[in-house]
Amino acid sequence: MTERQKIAVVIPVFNEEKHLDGLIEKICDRTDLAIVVDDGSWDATPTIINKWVAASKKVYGLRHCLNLGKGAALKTGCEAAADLGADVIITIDGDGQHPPHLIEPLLSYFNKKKLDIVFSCRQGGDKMPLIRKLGNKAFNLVSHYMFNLKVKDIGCGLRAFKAEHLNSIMWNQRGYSGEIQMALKAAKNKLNYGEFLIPTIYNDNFKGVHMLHGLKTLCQMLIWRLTL
Amino acid sequence: MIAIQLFGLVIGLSAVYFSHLYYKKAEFNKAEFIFWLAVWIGFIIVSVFPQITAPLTTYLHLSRPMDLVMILSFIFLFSLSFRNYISTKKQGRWIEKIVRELSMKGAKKKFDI
Repeated sequence: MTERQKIAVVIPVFNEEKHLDGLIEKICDRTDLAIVVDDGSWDATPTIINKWVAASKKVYGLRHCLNLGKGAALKTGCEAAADLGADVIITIDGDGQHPPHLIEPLLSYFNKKKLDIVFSCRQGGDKMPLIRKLGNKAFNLVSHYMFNLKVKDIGCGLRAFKAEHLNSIMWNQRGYSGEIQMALKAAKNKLNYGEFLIPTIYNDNFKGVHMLHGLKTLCQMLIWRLTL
Repeated sequence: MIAIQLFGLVIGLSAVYFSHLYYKKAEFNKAEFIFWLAVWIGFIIVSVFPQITAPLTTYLHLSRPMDLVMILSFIFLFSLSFRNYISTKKQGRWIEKIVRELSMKGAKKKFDI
């Protein structure tokens, strides 16, 4: 008989008081461990996390005293998850873009296909702003032709991977490009990857990757082609 | 004395004053103070007596002392930018390390309780 997998969900958050309460509640019902990393929020986010840490043994709160960026928050959360003995780490955005009910189908797809890492892919449509659609297209093309990573949405934050591969995909970028670097390292290390379709939800058009971040990340991808 | 020389003199004297002030506030050590004092005294001398650079400008085939100042300024600014880039990057890494270590430390305490 195989031992049950220990699942940890890592949620990097920055000023997410609107969505966080409901998100943690739904995640707690579906996982062994929810690691919420507050990346220096100045709204009620830390209070909500503290409330959940006190109320539930499943919730583990970490706090960056400064805003370092999503990549750094993910790194802190994933390292904590590995330290706590998680077998599978799931990363999910704190802004409600990824409905927690997707965790079960994502995991069953991950296990069924015996993958090392699964990337989710937003189905696009009209809900994604045009500039982001174009930016995503550019990232996907570069990752496809320069890194042989054939995914349709490299920037999507909902992912699941085996904790044993954390070191091989570890990123050093503090910002949004950390997620891209992680995906490219997975391709470089020839991890067995798959893609999982999810609906597109945008709750906040002023957060996330903007044009300048995007251009910077594209330049970094060209440099990583030589250095990763 | 023409206006640009006067302007150079005022800038140079102000910089000497600030270098001295930073030295007194212990933000500059003795070596740094001497270095900046020498730089600004040199700047004042060249501003007030630009003709003293004539042998050097002739040797380097430059037509005016101002060209020499411009070239030296560009070299200085590029090296300063490079130094600042390295130092900012290093500081960023230190800050990230400290913030992440502090977050883990805080969590460890809560977890132990």
